Amino acid sequence: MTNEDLWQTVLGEMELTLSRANFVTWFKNTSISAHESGAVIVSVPNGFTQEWLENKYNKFILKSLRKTSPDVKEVKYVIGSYSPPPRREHLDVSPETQMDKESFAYDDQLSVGELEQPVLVNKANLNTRYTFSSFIVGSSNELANAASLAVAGSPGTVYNPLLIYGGVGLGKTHLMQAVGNEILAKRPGAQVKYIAAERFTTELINSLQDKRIEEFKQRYRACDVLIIDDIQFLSGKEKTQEEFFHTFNHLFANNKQIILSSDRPPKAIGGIEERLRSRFEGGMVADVGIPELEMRVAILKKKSEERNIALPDDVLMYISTKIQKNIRELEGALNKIAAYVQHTKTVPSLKIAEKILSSLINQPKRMILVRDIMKAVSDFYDIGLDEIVNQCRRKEVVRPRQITMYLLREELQSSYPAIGAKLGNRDHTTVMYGCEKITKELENNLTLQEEVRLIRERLYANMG
Amino acid sequence: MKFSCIRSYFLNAASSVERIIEKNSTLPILQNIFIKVEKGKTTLSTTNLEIGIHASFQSKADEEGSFTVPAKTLLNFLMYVDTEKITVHTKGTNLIINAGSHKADIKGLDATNFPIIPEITESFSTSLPAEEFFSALSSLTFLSSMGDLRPELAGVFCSFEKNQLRMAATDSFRLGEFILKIPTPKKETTCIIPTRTVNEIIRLFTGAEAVTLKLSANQILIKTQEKELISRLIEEKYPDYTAVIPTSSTTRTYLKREEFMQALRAASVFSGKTREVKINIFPEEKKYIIESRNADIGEHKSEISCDGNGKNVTVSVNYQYFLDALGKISDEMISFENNNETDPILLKGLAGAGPRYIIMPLRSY
Repeated sequence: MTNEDLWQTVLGEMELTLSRANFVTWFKNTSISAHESGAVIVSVPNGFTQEWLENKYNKFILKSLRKTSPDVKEVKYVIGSYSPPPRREHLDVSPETQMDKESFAYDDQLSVGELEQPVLVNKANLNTRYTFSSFIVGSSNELANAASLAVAGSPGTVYNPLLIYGGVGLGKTHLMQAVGNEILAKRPGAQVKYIAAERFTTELINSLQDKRIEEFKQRYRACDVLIIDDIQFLSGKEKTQEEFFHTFNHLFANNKQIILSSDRPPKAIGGIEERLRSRFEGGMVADVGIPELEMRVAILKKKSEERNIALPDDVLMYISTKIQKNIRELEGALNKIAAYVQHTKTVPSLKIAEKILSSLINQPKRMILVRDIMKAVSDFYDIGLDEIVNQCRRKEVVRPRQITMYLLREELQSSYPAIGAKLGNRDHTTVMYGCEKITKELENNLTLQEEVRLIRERLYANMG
Repeated sequence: MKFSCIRSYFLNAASSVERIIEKNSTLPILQNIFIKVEKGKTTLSTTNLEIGIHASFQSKADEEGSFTVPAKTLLNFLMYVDTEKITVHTKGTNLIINAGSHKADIKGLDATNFPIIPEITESFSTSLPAEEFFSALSSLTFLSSMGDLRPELAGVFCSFEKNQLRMAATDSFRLGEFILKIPTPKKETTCIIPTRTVNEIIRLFTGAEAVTLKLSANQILIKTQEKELISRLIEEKYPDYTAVIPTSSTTRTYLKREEFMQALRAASVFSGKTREVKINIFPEEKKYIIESRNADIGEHKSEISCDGNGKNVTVSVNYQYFLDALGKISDEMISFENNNETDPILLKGLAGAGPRYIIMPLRSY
């Protein structure tokens, strides 16, 4: 029986004996972080919970543990690092918060940014930390790395455009910026420009507003190398796409290098004009995948060296085994350990590392809610949440709505009538039809498979 | 439980502990104040399970014991009573307060169900000059967020070092630092105090002369003779922010704080939602020209005088960031240092004892 199952049985029992309020208050964010030779270590979120469980519920917990695992002799309560649940966005975004968000996006690029290292952002808007030498290559990103190197060697000639795609935190931005930095290092006068697609859109809007569109055009057409990150954000933004299309053609015709990244293959980006999509696919499309264990260890080693902390191999191994999907999470774990090193001025042993990371690794799974699924779908297809619910029958809306039905059915095992009720009081037969349609289509529609996979990935990425 | 005391003592203690109570907490007892009577003193406690506060006051203990009553009811009643001396005792599940012509009978809850406020297993302890410490905290805390996006930035960083306490806070667009001279602590250490806790500390202890601060790996305790606040700490690594503080600058100018703020406020009217204001600095001509324009509203320009030297430079800034920072600087004259339109700007009082702020300019193309 895993620690998780064991704790679930305890929780199940406690839930029956306590009031709802007490149960939620004292058992939220708790888990078993270790179970060895009769001692169980329960990780709790804070000192209050620690005191309370120790003093008030210890007897019940022990008794309940013994029922399923008779060898348990003692229970200890340890404060795991506090990790507040991800903030939930409300469904109805009021105009004020929306405005705030926009202005936030506006100066996002100007931030003091990653305070971790001195931010050396050069004229091209590239972070000088991202170089090829600091990029770790493994089978999951070999192709993308080789293509990037080739492009850096002779920009504008070999692969144009170069499009790198893959999940979050796998090194897309690193690679793209490395190309830019490399080109700049060889030819310091080159006009290299890195920009996030979102920022590109904001700039375009601003220059339209201020009637400085010519200036905008000139600025981008003067580039030797144009790097645009996260182009999936262009989906649904027609004016931006049009402007980008012309810029793209202009650069392409003049043998200027274009580098793009996306979180999914170009085929799976919805709301992108066909002429643009075909151009994306015209050059080289390379993906970065999830790194294998050895590579994760290597990455972690490199990152801890950068931070000047020497960690024992078993600790590095432990982190790399437990965190598999995202390099940024690896870095997060390393940050936690680094904080410990900073506080105590000692290097943690494997045992201590396990304790430090217990909350990160054994994070209790949060339930996926109906709202999460609806939001994930609406974000993905860039349509309003209300459009999923309302009666609109536009094709762009109907399809995401059916995918929502399908996911609600698959992920939450909701009943057809319940799904119908959530989605604007639709009849259960409508829901059945929707689910079946998607199920059938999934069998041989690759684009749809990819889309559903990505929505799921995002859905669970936020759950921790 | 039975005690008698001076009303204002009781009221003060109750209002000290009341504010952290969360109105919509899941556990009803968290709305209550825990009252504990010991020899010669009564202690009131509350908690929201992140922060716990104790406040004690002198009283005559007739019978030791403890009880809890809803904070709101107790506080409201005490506010409207005007007698000086009151007596308090429990009777069954109620708390009876006799105050001159008033008598209250408040329904309470058994004290055994009140959460235990954890004690701190001390690993670091120091005493601090209260006034300076709190003014340093309040010049920084507005920069730290409540958000969970980057948990390490949701608080004020404190580093206890030789001869000094270095404090910093940032929302990653701007950063504030305050260095406070203190006696060298026995041990060097660092911590990140959550924003909410910082705000409570400022509220609770402002006016105190000296406070004791204790730290363990995940908790902080601040106390005076009468009051104690215990809170969790943020267990993350604070970024090495010193790397973003500019070490040299090619343009250094000095100007009147109030005049600068006035010009920025006027410019803000025309800057729209991007909050962008252009500052043109002409050290040779001893002047600043501050401008803003918005396609929908119109434009504005104002000129103020300055001192200093260096080359002419123009920066675009978010005026709110400047007004926030300037509002926390108490010197009459401020110093404004920068290099060019893209590098961070260093802003501080000319005398230099207070906070200093680093602000990223907006990038203008």
